[in-house]
Amino acid sequence: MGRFRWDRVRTIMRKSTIRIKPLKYEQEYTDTPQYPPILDISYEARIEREKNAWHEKIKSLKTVEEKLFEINMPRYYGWKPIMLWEELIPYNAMPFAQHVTRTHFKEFKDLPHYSTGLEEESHKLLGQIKPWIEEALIFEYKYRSRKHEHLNNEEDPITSISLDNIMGRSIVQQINRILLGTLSNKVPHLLKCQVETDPRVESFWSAGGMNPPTFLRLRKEKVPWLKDAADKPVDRWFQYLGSPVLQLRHELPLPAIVQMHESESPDFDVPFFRYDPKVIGYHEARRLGTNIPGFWPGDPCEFGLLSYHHRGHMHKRLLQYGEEDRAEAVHVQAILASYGWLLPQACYQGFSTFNDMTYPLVTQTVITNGKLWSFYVYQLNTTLVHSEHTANNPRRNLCWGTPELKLFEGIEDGRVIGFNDDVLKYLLKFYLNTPQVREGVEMKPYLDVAQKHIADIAEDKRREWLEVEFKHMYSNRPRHVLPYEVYQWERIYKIWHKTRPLEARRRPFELQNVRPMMRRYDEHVPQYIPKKLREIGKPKKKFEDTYYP
Amino acid sequence: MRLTTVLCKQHIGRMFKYHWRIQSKRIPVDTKAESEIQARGIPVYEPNDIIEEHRQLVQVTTAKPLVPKPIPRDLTHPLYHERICHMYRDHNVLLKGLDQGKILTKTVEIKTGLPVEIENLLGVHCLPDQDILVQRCILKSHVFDAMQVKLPKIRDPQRPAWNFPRGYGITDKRRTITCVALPYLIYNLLSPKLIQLCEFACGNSTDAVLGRAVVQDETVFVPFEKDGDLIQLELTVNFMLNSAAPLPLYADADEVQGTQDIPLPDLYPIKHTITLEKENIYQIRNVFPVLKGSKFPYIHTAIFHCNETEVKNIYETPVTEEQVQGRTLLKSFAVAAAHAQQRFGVNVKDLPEPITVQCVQTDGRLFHFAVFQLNTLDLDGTEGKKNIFWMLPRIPLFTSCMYVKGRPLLEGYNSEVFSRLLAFCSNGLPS
Repeated sequence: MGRFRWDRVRTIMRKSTIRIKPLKYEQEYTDTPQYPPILDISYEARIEREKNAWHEKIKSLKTVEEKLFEINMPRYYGWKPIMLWEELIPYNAMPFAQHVTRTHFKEFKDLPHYSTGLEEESHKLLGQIKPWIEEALIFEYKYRSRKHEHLNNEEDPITSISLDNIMGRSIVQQINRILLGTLSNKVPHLLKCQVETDPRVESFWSAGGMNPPTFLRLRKEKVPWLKDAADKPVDRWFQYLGSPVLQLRHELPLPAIVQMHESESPDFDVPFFRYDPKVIGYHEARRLGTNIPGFWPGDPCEFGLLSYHHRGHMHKRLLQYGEEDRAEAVHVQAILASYGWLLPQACYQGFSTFNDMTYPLVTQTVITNGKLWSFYVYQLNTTLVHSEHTANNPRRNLCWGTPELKLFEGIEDGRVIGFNDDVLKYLLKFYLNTPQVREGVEMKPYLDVAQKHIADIAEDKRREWLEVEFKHMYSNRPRHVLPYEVYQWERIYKIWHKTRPLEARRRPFELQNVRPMMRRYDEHVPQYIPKKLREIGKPKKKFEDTYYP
Repeated sequence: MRLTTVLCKQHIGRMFKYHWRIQSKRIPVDTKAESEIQARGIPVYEPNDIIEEHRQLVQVTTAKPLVPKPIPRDLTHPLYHERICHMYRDHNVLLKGLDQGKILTKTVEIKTGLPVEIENLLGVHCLPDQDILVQRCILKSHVFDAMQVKLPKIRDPQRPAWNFPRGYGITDKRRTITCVALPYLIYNLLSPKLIQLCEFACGNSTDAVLGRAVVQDETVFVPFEKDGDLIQLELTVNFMLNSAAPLPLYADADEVQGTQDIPLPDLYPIKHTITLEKENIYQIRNVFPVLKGSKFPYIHTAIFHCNETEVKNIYETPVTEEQVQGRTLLKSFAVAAAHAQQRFGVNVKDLPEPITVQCVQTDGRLFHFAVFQLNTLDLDGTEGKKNIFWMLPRIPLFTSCMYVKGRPLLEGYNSEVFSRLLAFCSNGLPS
């Protein structure tokens, strides 16, 4: 690493020698003059062209992993996304969540297909399954002694949040077990679906339309050619970190609820959120962007059916926020959870936040603590929410949801009081909704036919290198060299108050054109090969090859 | 100024030290003022007695800290007892493994292998695509799981100072969850078939089929007395299947009487409580995760996890096969005993009817199948009725499952494990 110096990079890396092959006479002259296209050479247009070229490059990469890799390539220490944790929902976050995911939210009653075929089927099965569910509820609430009751935790008493989550988890596990067992002879797809507990769900995307952060605006105002565009909205990165309880996945996707072009109707309005997300309480962190739907690329079950989520965080929500905000907080959780799961699924199909979907994906989300249940169906129609697409993209994602419903009132004398059949019916519909083959749709248009994943690459060295580096990138471990920072004393004595004018200027913030955080991911010295390990006949080959996309 | 030899000749440091030594031992010169004043009859006081202000300090009560201070673990602790309790917890292993376990729980093996009735169940239920689904399940939890957390440090005993790069990946604990996924898979595959069977055979008796409850990651506490020592088992059951009907007995009354003649192993000079943790601060509790009065009171199958990160010897030697078997024995005893204490009362000694449990201990790859029959809780001495333990050696589910040269690879899949697990879970169901 000592060989790498950031102050040298700009000069070394940016110098390129283009080797020009002399053209033959016939090639050099044509009958009609051929001019290159006339390009707009304004600053904005140049930046735009660079961006588009990058998006096209991502589209043209062959494997899923390389596409995911490329998104992080421009930054060695990672991007600085707004962090969206599942449990962290600030006050009045609904317009924000809808804007960054481009989601139109509707009441569940408006859901078209769920009300026909599945309705009858679920009604039929209700009588058969209800006693089992009641039995499970009685068992869980009345005849269980739990771990936390017996631990000596006087110093760290259990909170209402974790109690809520513990109950929710056991009930979800029991109900899922009963439903899978009893329904799988009616709907055989449940036999082949994969059940995953506590999966790692992360997604990373770019959304635009929001005001620039203050530091950026102030910095732009100082530059003459950026001065006019200082207030222009900028794209922001978002990193969602989910924590589902349980997920069901299948080899086939769920059928679309509405046709993709129907979502272009102006009835599906999405509120426009134009402020910096920091104003409602979100924060930034520096990290590499990760898109993971709970499994690595290559798992055959790559489409989600259903995911369960906790709602323990509602206990720490302040009461003065009001009932309306309380209801909205659950919707926000559902919208972000659904989008945050569907986007990485779409990424595994070859799409990305810059390359739009060619067919819709659907998922179903349940948020519960065992007693209160909310149900959501989400259809992902578009992943383009960045720059001008915030205003121009005609497609919207659609989310249908219920308010929170009570499964039962209470349990007395070994009987469930006030069991709400509707809740069970919603749940049955979710399990009965059968995934289907998409007829006549090319599922992976942007992936290579022969090389969909790294594992398909024929060249041994390249495959191994990419596999290791991809996992290394996605582990988000600290970089080999810690990132550069401006120390607090420097900020006070060198930046805010210029008290040390005689000192040599060596720190990056004192130098011109040295921006360590702008370092590219591949700007490092490759791995050194010790002399005894060098290939025979190549004693001068000091460094291992790299295979960055 | 340059530091020349001339300059160095005068060693100021030495002078300074000497001066410091002299000055530090200064003796005050007696001015004879005191004796002179006393002679004239004027009272002499110590200056501090006059100058110093005598203040009464007021006790200020401070507010409670936000994070309460931990209670000191000493004689003043509310749970402190004079009598030592020997604790056996999830991370412990017995020094002598199975033999020590047998003495602690007063258990014998009457034959090698599992009971004939369970061996006969092998292959009775065969599910569609079972092997394909199990292999997919293994790949899912060993290769395709996207968990990436910091793994424990890698140590090489030959080179103890060598620092290996820290690995990120799936933890042992998470890998072992495969085994929780497998019984679910069985349940999922088995139920529709059985429902169908029941609809044909006995009309509306799906109760017997689906009438089971699953309990996950719960604790079992069993205190007992053994040769004058107080012992408490505090163990986790990672997966427990409870049924509405008890399992049949695999050893009849004659065989149970016959156990009186089988001797227990001799550990001399080691005492059977070695490697159990001796503690004075404890709470004697009887805990079983399913309370009395439930519809599913009987234990059917219990699955325990055993991962390298958590289960360790005190002396850093690797855990042996014997010790893993001993762990299975103690865990199955704990589950059965906790159930017995709940059913027949805390002080029960001779059980009115024996309790049978099927147990599996696994680290995700190796599976240890065992059956335990609890006949007595009178554990003193080596004479009298004894408990019975059947077991198989550990069977691997596969030889390796990982990325090999960038490709996911599952090698040496062994279908026996799943059929055995299936036989365990389907025990007691109509075939």
